[in-house]
Amino acid sequence: MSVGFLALLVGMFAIPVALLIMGHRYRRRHARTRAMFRGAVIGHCVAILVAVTWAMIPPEMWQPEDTGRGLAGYWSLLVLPVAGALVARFAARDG
Amino acid sequence: MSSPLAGARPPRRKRRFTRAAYYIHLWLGVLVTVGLIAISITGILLNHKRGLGLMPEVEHAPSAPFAESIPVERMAYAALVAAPQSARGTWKPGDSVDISLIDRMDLRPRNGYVKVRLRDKASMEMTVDIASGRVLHTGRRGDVFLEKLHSGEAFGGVSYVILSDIAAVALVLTLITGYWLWLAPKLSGGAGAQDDVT
Repeated sequence: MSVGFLALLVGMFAIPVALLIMGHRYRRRHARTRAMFRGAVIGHCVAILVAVTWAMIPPEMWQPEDTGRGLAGYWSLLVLPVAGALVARFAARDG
Repeated sequence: MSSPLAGARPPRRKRRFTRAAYYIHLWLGVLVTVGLIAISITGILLNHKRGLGLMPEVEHAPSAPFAESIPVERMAYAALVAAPQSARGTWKPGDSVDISLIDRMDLRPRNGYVKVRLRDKASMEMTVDIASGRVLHTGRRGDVFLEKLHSGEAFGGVSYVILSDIAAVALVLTLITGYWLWLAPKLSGGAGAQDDVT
């Protein structure tokens, strides 16, 4: 199992579980946690679109040095929600 | 989705079941969203693979009785000769047929042709007349990769179909629990029957 596939599994299953836990009793959460939740949800939704779109690229169009497909297809579901949560966290603190 | 516990007070056991159904529906729905979106999109594309040109459609009638078909090896040779260089690797016309290049040969006696699919990235497919060995069509099978993505095989082999199995089981559970959440308040009667909880 490659690291990329592991990242895909985490992004596909662990991130939604984390979002569900964060979303539980949402209104009772701290404002910053709520902002992080919203950022992570937006990141995850964007990641779903990106990952599914890039996954449709047929194999004959893949290049050995093609890092974009790996990043978008395997890593986006993990990276974008985390990035969204972090951005929202700092935006909430600044605001 | 609001809590299913509002409205009339059904028996405790039923309330517990409804509560469990609510959380199963909620959690599983979120958990398998990515997988189900991918499976649904690839499924729609596969349903329309002919219309989308992902699978070549060759109109052809048998040019000779089936008994007069050429040997399978000659069909494969004709297909390899017609294949693009990128699909056949180091093999060149005049060499003996390299079966490691061939994924499958799909023989259609009623149409009088055989579809020879190669194992390259593009899944090149040559349609060959089984009586004359004439190549009728050469093109890539765009649906092969979509099928693998649909089943989960694209991630590394047959064992990865477990991913689509998980999504399918979760979908079935989500459907059943969703149906129950719709039905439960109606079965409980009284005020709750008029107030849909979902």
